Amino acid sequence: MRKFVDLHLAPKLKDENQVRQLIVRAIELDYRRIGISAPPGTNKRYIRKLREDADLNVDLVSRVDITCTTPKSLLKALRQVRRRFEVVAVTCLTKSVARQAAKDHRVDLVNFPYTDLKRRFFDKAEAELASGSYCALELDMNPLLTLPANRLVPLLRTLRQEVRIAEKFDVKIVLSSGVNDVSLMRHPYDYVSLARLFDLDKESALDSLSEIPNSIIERNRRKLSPDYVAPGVFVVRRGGDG
Amino acid sequence: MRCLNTVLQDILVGKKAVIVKSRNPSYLNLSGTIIDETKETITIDDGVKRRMIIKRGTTFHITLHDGTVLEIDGNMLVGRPEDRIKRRLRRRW
Repeated sequence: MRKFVDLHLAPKLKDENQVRQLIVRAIELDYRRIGISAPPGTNKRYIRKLREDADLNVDLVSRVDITCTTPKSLLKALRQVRRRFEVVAVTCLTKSVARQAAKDHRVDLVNFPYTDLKRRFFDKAEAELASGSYCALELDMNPLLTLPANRLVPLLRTLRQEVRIAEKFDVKIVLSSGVNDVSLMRHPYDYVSLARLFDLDKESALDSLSEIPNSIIERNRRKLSPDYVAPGVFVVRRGGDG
Repeated sequence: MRCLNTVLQDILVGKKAVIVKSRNPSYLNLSGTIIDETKETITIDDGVKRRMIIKRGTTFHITLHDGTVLEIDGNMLVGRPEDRIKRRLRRRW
């Protein structure tokens, strides 16, 4: 049975009521893991408190969203946040940041603005870089529900192209809600139906909601565990004089 | 405590190894002592036979001299032993 994941819930962290409502609604909609988006400066204690307060039926994943305009600031931010959060997502506002994020092994998800289509830099070069690292393309479903028709049509056309490029270069796609309002949350199978609008077939969409984000989370949790030594090296059992 | 970061630069010959993941299913759970190493392969003596295992696509559990067991991805071991010594660990993630 699939374990559905919504990696991108974006509530106002100061509004605990809103956060709680989103978590409760996510559980009702069959999500087993949810990622609460936090800015880079968020205290680790806050994430731990959120986990303790949350319902035991859901697995909370700590996620950070980095928004930078220069590759240098991106690298600096990655150095600071990588070992503190389980999922690192970069919102790419410029081409240089998009390229840097795609080739950096520390980035898990790249996403692009939905309102300005000229800033969606996911082309063949980007996909080729992303396929070499473990970077996945994140697509939020929230704009599909909120944008007016005259902006939705060009967005869907762009998303269709991006999905085609991602499939050609074997770049993983992650579908997330990207919502901050309970009323905009949908069941995973609703998102699977919506994904047909940009030519993502049922099996791929289900994987984008379950297998792919789960593999990202498991991989990163393993790397954040004390048994991680270096890329490809883990401690199985410690020796006598350790 | 021994610094484990340098394990990828270590000499593997003489260490005990167990294959836990491999593209060739007949190599799974093969265990023995590493007796030789080349750029792309490792030779393991399991007491009965000597087998040459390709490093790429294989995951090993290698036991160090102090008893620590490490799981190492074979892709990270690719390279001649004399070249691996010179390799510096650049990526930490």
